[in-house]
Amino acid sequence: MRKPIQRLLLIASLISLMVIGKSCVDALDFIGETVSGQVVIYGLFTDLDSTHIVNVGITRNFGLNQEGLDNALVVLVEENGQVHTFFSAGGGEYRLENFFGTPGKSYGLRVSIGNEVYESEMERMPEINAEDNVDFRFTTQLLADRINIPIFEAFGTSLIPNISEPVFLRWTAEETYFWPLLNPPSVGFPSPEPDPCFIQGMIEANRINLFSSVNSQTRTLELFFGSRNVDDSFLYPFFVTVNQYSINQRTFEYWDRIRIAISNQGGIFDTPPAPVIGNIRNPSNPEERVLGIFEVAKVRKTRVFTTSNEVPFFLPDRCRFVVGKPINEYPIECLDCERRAQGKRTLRRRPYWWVFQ
Amino acid sequence: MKKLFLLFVLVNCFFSKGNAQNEFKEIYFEHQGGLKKEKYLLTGTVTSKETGMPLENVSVHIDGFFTGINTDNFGQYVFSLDSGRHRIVFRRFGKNADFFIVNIFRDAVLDVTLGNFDFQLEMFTVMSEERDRNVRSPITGVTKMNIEELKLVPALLGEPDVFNVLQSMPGVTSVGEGSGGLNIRGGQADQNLIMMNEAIVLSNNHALGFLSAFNGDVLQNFSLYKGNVPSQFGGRSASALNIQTRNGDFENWGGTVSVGSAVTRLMLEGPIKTEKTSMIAALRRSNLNWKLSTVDQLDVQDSRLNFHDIYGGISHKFSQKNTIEFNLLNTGDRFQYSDQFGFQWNNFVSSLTSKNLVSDNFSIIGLVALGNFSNQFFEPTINDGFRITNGLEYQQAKLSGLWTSESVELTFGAEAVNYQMKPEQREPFNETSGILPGKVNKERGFEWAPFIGLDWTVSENFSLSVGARYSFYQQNGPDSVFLYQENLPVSRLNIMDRLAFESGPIVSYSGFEPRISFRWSLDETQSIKAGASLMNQYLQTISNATGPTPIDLWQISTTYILPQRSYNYSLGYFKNINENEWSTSLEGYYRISENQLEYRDFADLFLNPHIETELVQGEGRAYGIELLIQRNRGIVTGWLSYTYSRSLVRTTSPFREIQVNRGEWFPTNFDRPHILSLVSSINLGKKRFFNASFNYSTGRPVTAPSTNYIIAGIFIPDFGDRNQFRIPDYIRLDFSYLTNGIVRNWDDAINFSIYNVMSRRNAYSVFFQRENQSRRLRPYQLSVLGSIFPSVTYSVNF
Repeated sequence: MRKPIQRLLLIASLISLMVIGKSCVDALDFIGETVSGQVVIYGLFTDLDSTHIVNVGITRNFGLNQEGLDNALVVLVEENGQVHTFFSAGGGEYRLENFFGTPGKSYGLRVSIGNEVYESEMERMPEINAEDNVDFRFTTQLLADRINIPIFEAFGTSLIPNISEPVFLRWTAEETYFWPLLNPPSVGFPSPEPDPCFIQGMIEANRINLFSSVNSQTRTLELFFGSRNVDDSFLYPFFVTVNQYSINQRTFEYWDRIRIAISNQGGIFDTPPAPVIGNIRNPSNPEERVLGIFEVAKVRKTRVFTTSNEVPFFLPDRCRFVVGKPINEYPIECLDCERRAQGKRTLRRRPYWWVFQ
Repeated sequence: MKKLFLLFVLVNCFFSKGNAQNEFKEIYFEHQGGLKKEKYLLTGTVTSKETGMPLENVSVHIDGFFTGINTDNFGQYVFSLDSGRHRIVFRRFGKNADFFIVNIFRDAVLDVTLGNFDFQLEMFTVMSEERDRNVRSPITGVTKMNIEELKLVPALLGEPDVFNVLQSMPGVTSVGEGSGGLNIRGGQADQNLIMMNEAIVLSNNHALGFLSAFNGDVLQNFSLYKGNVPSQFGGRSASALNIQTRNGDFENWGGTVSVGSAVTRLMLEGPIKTEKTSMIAALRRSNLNWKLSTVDQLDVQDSRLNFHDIYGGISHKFSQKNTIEFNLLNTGDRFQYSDQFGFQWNNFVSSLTSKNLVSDNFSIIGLVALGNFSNQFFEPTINDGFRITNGLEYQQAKLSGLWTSESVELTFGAEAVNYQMKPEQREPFNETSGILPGKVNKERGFEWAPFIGLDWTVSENFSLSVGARYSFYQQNGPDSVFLYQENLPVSRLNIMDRLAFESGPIVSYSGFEPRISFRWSLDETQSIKAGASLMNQYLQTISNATGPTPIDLWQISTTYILPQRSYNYSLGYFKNINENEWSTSLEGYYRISENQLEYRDFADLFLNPHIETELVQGEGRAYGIELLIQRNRGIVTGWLSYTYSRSLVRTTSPFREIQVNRGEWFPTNFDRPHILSLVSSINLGKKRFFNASFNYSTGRPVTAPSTNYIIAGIFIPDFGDRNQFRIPDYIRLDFSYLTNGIVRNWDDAINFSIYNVMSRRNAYSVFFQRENQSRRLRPYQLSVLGSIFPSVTYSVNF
């Protein structure tokens, strides 16, 4: 007969096993084959007097992002039939300047690639925006390994106009920070001052903030725009721009489906993934599925900024000039704006809104 | 390596030899004058020694062979014997067999009392010798088991569980861990008719499907009809599972208290009036939250998972021939994931059953049942937190008669079910929520069907089971029927008008449902069986999740949601070896289903007054081969099952834009071609048992991206055809150790279970995400149970 102490040991060992708790998500080794040759068109046309951009590309094998197409003809179509041609900026990007949308009017997009013509539906630009209030905070986040990391969070509220027509809104948040390039003293003639380096990118690009006033009587929304790690980007002024896009219902539904597609974690209650269809078609080949969307939005931008004085964490400055330190011992990002940006957009002129008020 | 060795030992043990010893009591029925005959009738009643209740399904063996005769619902049997000396054995699982040598020279009555199986015995017979039913019964695809057998299969949470055992049987699978419902022979989970004492039970699992809602303390046995469903069961198009609960003790009060690391149970039973009226009540409650708090994820730590079930039963014997039973089952679950979302569902089923023996060979059973299922999901988000509720109420009535003779068993009667779907409602989750309340009224329907079935033992070698059911269904008002533009798909964009019906019939369907099955015995130990059946279904679940969830919408057939219909064919070879020590079977099936429901991409199912716009109907095709090798007695018992099966579906809309995968065949979410299970129980003696089960199956299909692209800085996977990829294969090994007599002089037991001993992270699904700033999507697998899951349960009988 087993002795009581042995029984207790057996029970204790089993109970100790119970406290094993592990993550349930693992990366797999294989990369699925992907289909190439699908046309991807994304265009955003707004009421802002700024550059409007359309990206045209084609999907590639091996899961790589689409490749930009530079030989397309891209035109904006007004409801009266007038057209405005975009010019190619390279890399599949097409730009339209000196023209902007009028709320209440409809616009379409036509893209010609070789013999194929792709047309969007005519999309009406909404007339109403909500009133955003943006704020930020520095805090810490506890990771799974019990380490606290400093993070910056952008959040705010939005006051929805009290109108009978449904309102559909989408928000994105982007950061812009100044990165002074190292200009070490030189012998002889002083070297020219490098152009200022401003680096611009999305904060949590995959966070899709949406709101529909259908079925909701909420008029003051609390919003979380995104977070990022606190690093030396905060050594100098750091701006957060929240873009609020007032869109129509069809565009709202498109982004809602994109949100489902990118947030799918394979969970039990997750909506099963499916292809997301936008508003662009190939009339001569209805079977062809065009990826992307042409969206028409009334935009409101709200900006806030912070400086290093407000950062409650230590920020190492690896690019601080040290007399006698050879130039090749500085990190390359101290000297090169593009290298610092790591794929983000760079501005080499001070933006007009870079004002500290 | 050690794991492989253990498996090797198990397999070897599985094939080891057992033994048994029996004692025969000799009885003489002397000739009492008159003419001597060649054959005499022997009849009698078999009752339980403990409760005095008649025992049904006691098998009668004569001279070493099963006669095909079982006691009926009233514990009675009758058969004719050649005059002379015979060895007769009465067997039933969970009971000690009774052995007689009968010298019969006149018609005689032999009443038998069987006592409960005594755990003090050194040898334990896992499977009853009723197992030769698999050779003698005329019906294909039947799985029967009782609670004692269930207890010997290792289970998650240490609870003996019907669904856990069924998933180790051939032809039964599921979408995955954490997914409610069973998929039987290629059928969807909602195509299974699940009953408790023949009353329909809609919500039948706990803890996201890890546990069934049926408490082992009150179970008597279950019968799964996956091949040829008898005609008295209908309303679903794949299978029927009837779970029989037991009556309370008619003589003594007693009960069980059980405390486990996951579940706590209490059961009480006894006579309200000795030998006349008994009751049984059982309560089961989860205590899993402490486990969640140990997981290294804050959201999981903040999550809560609670469930309970309450069962009550009262039985009253007016006489030995007339009894009435009242049963009640209430189950409830609540799951909340951090402060993000949650689900809650409740089920209430009550039934009243009257059993009346009109004459020696004719009995009537009447049943009325009420069901009430409600569920809700909620999102307590900051701005517009909401709660959506829906559900279904139903009333069921069934009257059936059973007439038996020496070679014929005739069942006939009628069944009716009235369905009332509850209005679907949306409410603000709290006072700060700005969500607007909403409500969509739902449909009501009525289904009824007369049925008749005949089991005829034509000869020793040939028996036949034929039956028919004619089902009528009618959707009744009030409801609105949307009219859509002709030659365009049913879609919210194509709505033309709306017809309002205040009352009366809106649409009706009916269908003839023949069922036939036969058994041809090659000899006493082997037989061939075949069956064919047609079944209609007017109630189904609608879900936009990967697998069945407890909060799926129950939806009756409407003008646009046509009834499902299935054609089922099966053929099997059955062979028992060494006087039923081994049972083997090889069965094949082919199944075609019509009007199977598929959801459209991104279907919006909740608060949708025209839900047909989110669905598309199609046809299904399933086929497979099932092998079962089972050892019924000895030191090591258990079974090995292997299934090769496919389950495919295609949509059949004339409109290209709503077709799934262009109308081509594609695998269902639960299509797993290869499934292998090994379940074994080793009797270590002195009331100790070591049990193990090994499960392997092909990974289920998932939808994967066909390409990816970036727009507006967002990395987007573009998903291709539905279910064209598969997750990694599923492998799991479980152990349990059961021992009695922990405390001296107590009738107690302790069960150690280790679920997923290999700590394997079996994938539930695969999803694709961008890895950091890489330019590619990477596949990730989600495991519902990512580690070993031990549990301990201690129980005391009093």
